[in-house]
Amino acid sequence: MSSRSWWVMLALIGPLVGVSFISAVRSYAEASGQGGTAAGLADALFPLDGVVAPTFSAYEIAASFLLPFVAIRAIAGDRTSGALKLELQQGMMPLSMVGIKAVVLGAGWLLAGIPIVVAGILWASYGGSLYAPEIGSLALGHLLNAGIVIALAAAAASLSEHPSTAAILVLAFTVGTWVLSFVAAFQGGIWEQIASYTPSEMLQAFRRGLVRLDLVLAAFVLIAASLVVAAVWMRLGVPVRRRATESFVILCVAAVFVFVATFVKPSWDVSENERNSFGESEAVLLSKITAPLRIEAHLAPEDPRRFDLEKQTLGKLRRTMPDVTVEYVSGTATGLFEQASAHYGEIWYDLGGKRIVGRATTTDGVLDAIYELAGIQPPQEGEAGHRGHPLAAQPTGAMPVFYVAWPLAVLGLGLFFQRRRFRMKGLSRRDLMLAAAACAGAPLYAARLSAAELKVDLSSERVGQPPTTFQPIVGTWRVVQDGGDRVIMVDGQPWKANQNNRTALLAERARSFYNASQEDFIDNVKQFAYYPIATLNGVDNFSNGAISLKFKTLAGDLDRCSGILFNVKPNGDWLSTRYNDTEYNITLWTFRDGIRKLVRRGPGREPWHLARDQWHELRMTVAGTDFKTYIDGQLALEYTLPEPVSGKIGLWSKTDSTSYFKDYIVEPA
Amino acid sequence: MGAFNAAEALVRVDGLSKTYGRLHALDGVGFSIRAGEILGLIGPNGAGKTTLFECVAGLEAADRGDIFFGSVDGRHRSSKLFYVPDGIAPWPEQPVRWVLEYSLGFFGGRHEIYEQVLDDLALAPLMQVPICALSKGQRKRTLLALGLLAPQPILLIDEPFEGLDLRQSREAAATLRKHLTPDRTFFLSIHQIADAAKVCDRFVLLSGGRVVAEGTLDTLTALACRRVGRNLLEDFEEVFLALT
Repeated sequence: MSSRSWWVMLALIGPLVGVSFISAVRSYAEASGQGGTAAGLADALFPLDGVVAPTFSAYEIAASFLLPFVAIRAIAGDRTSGALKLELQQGMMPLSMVGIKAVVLGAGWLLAGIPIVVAGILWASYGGSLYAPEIGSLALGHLLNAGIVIALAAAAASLSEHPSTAAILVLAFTVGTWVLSFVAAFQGGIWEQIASYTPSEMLQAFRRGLVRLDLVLAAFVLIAASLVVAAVWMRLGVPVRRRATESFVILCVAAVFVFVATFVKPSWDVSENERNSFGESEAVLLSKITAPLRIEAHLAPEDPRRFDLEKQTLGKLRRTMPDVTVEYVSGTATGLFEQASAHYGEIWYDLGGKRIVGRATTTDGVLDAIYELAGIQPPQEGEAGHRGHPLAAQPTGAMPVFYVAWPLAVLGLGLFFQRRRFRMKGLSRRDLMLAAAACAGAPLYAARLSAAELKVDLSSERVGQPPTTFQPIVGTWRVVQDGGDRVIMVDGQPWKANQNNRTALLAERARSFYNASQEDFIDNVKQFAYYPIATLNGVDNFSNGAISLKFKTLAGDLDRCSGILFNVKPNGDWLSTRYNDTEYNITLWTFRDGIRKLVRRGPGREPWHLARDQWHELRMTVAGTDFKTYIDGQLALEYTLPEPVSGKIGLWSKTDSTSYFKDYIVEPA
Repeated sequence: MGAFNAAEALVRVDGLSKTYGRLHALDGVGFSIRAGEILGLIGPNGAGKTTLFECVAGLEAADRGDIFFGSVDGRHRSSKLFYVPDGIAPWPEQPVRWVLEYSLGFFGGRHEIYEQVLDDLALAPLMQVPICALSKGQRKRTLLALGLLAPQPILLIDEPFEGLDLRQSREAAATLRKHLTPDRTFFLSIHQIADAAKVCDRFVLLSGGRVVAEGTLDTLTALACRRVGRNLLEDFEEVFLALT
């Protein structure tokens, strides 16, 4: 908890997971038919490929570029501070010390897995499907990857005099494995076999829901060997030459163990659609073929057919048949200039001395060749495939959670646990608790400022007083109790009483709100005073999204109007969309340069004869210049605005209307 | 080297040598540490004092030589001696209280003298201060406390008065004397001759990686007088200069 580098990693991992998760969900939604994808494609979608594995990929990035530095700091920090010289005198074996530190780092890494859990919860809340064994496979793969990183970082930190040297060593190893994979891709052969045991390649199998015992064993050997090397170099009192010799021996032994592990066969296909296995009937037939099968594929390493053959068929074949040997033969890396060769593209099958040559690289083609050699009939019926889980859902709520709430929560907790250090720098514990509390409340505040929904809460308003959540500009606005709810009321009676002196209806703060320089506002006060308005505090600029409210018409002789105010400018111009209980229609009005004009009237029809003294919903949406109004969920008005809107928003009424308002919700786009 | 009763020697160093490339940091060093004494390792900068301490503590591999703890070799040193290096700031993010209590637990230290050590070294006001925020002298007092609380009978301290002012040095010296018991022995590396003369019972003079003299102040003074041919009574600095 005292490691600042761990807290930094923890803070960064939330946004990393967020980026991966949000883009994955959006892509999955598009592929699921949101963009008009064909149904067949959508049925082949599985969350493992489309959401879960991409979300977990954030951990591969973190394990490559963040975790090593945390581990190096934890191990090398003791050496540079001098604590190691004290710890070594305790008599504890260096291997025990390294092991304990590795376990603690591993536990810290597990804590960093919380964002993944949050992503899973969000995905499930959208209606997404999760298959536990697949997630377990991915988690195991990433845990082993992290273990390898921690162990290698420990070895590098023990070997080096300075943490920066250790960091370079670890990064060099990471880049080296990428280079190895690159070379293997076009060289094939032994390079391909070696590259398959690098951490990044190991993860590929786990990503497909395949748990291979050889990979698990190889990972454990790498972890153990690295930790032992770290312990060897921690023994400061042993001559350097002896430590180097011991390290060399350990690495040789580890290489032997990894080599032996490559012969371990058991593996488990935990994917939901059993993508790593043949169908049951085929698997039964193939497992009965006990004669050794040798396949010689004349395909170059970069030939796409070789990739398909390996991934779609040969991998499954190795898992199913007891004795399978595969050899790739080619003279070039790409195969482009081998096309004319006599045997290029051929696949030779040798089963117990019998031979057959084919060119098909599809699963059916390969299996047909094997069945023919074995003299057995292929299964008569194909097996039903696994249906996918398409889901056209948007990552609602994910952005504020991963980009704001998570980093702020980590910051708050980090400050709390580092309180002793900050106390000495002039901040009291009270300051830290306040900061932590502010961070805990930040998600709510952040929700107001980010793209998340804002719902005006009237529960704290004082009944009988003007609202504090809205700024009354014109007219009489106050909070009243309506049953169990506190609501905002625009009271038309004072307007009626002062209709010959409308300047009296201006709120005292109106002028200061629009400032003295806005003389246009003052000149147009008579017109302005016709329309009681109150602006929403805390939202200075609304341009795209939706605004909705609930209203109840109570009284009014001249008018009975309830509306949404928007596009409020500093000079007093505004737009409003409203329902009128005397005309039974929905309109869009503009107030500009002191003059109100009708912009658009929605078609009047019987459903707009809304029941009085009952709550109804008024909702508007703006997307650029595309404007719509809805009444109780039904589209009531459409219009293309001449320009995009901006500015304050709020409540609107007219003349002597008396209405109630509640549930004011802003949803910025 | 002065005569000594080998039977009383807790530690015997014999022919210790360490080379860094062409530099002979230690060359055939030999001496003994007796039970219940404060032995001072005196020498100018670069004499090899820290190298010698780290070889005795097992944190540096000597090229040649032997270290015996009683009658056994140095493989059991972790239960015999504890070395407090100079210039370290262990667990820098942690406060003094955490460091001392962690050390007590980790090393199985002397809980019974915990409060007394805090009082002797005036550490009470510093308990909540992170190690990295301590001054040089405050950090040295914390390290002294760490060493005094260690369970091992032999305590090696590299430059115990480094960073301490005159009053603090005297108080630290008095604290070391206070905690010296028949089952507690101190081996101190000191480059300030005056400080060494006030606190140590015997001395090992190291110069150029070699032991040039070993013995009490009287023994070394007599040796120095013979070498320079004049009286050097009560002037340890002159004794040191004459012998090195």
